[in-house]
Amino acid sequence: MFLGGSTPTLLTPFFSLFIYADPGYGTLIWQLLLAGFFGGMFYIRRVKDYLSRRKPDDAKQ
Amino acid sequence: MTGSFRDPSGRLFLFRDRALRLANKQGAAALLDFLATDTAQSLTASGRLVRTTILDAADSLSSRIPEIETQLKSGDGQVLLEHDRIPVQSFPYEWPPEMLHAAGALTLDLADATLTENYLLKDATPYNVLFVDWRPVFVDVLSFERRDPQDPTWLPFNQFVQTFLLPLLVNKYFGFRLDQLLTMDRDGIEPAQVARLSGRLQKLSPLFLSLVSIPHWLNKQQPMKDDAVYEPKKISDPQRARFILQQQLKRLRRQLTKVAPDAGVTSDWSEYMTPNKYFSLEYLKAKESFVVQTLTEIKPDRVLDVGCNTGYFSALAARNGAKVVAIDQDPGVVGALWRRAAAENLTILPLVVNLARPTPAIGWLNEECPSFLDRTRGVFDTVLMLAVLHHMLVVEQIPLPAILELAAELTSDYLVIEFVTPDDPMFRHLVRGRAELFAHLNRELFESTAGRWFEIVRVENLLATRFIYLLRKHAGDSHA
Repeated sequence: MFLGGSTPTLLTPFFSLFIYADPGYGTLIWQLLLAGFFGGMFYIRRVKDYLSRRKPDDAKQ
Repeated sequence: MTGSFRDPSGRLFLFRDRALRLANKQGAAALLDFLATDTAQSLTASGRLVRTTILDAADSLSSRIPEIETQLKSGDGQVLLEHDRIPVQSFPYEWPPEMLHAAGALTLDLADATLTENYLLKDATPYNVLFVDWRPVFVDVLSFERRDPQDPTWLPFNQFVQTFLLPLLVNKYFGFRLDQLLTMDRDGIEPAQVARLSGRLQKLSPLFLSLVSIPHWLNKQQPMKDDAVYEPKKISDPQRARFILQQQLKRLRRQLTKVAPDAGVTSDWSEYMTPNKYFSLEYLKAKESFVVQTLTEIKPDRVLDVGCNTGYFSALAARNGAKVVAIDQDPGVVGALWRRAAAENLTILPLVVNLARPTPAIGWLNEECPSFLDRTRGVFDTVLMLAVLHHMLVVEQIPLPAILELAAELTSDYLVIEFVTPDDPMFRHLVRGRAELFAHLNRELFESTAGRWFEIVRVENLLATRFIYLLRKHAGDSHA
């Protein structure tokens, strides 16, 4: 025998208790600031990748 | 019938041992798209995401639940789904920190894995996770939604911080129990609450700075009208947006690791079962022998171990093939048991529950999160109450008939119980000079009281002051 028994039971926590998640003002601003930082990192990585790809090519030549 | 009123995508029905979901047209279409992805299938196969199947509308069950039948006949494209049933539900305020940490790690794993398929979780709360034995399973399949490829933000970021990271941080650095923190606060802890607890230097440490001090300071700067900040953010390069999200998730994972509970933390009760610390090796061996013989004889399927401590007897039952729910009021020992169950893959669900004050029903109309007793009454065929009865009698001051009556409600068949007489050293230690209150308590009284619900199958004398009983519910009461 399990919870619910012979009577159908509606139960919320099993699914979608939270339809709306409060983004939180401070945390959201902080997340956006971090996003700016990571966005910068994205370009730095691209440049790094580009340079690391070029180096072996240069060596071949 | 209230409950899933918050969910516009569909409603869940628990019927006997089945979990059915009636999803509306849009909710079902989105869900089926998601479930068809390689990532969802791989997560389901590994048991990390609850298994979901589509049911035929003509399924005989639908006609037995009028609400489902009416909706299916309405012709507006509703779909009936079935999820694997999780045998015993548990809630974050019943978990030791180890389990909240495991649920958080699973949430981040899923957010990260589904990102590659351009999905993202629309919420990040521990209520999306249930445990099958020690193993976390993500059950809220409707949490996954297609993400805008140009959006680099994750709106549930704050929810993850407040419901996973900050409770674990406050538990680890300030010693607050998770049941204290999460029972009344569904949304977790705000940075302001943690800031009030933190010292000046602590507020400047990298972890506190990022999770507490900066968000708290920014919250205080919030103008009355700044709705623009909540509008969706877009950047032109989808690759860059995804990179940013991946880095945010990585960062949350690093922070989750930093707030993880330390292994090997001891509590007042963690050495209770150590031989010769409180009890002699002979006594522990005799008790083990009785329990092993009993388990071999009765071969229980579902066991509740009350006052499980570090789970010595839970492990014996699990190794004997039973699915065990092990409860204790001390998060330290329950956390240690979870680690052990995970390491040895034991079929044990350890929970921080005090049977003398079991988890109440919580939420809207007290129906959103049922009480521990409502979730477990009649689930078990065997209940173990080893070295726990005298604690309930003396410390919690619950009368003997009330304890045995509850045990009879919880088990459908057997009760293995240890009776300790008032002249036992531990009993005397607990009584602290109020011995006259229990002067009437003896074996005869215990046996005659138990006789109202149980018959004695076997009894053994472990020490002069300790007796262990195998009791079986009276024939008419069995499998009630």
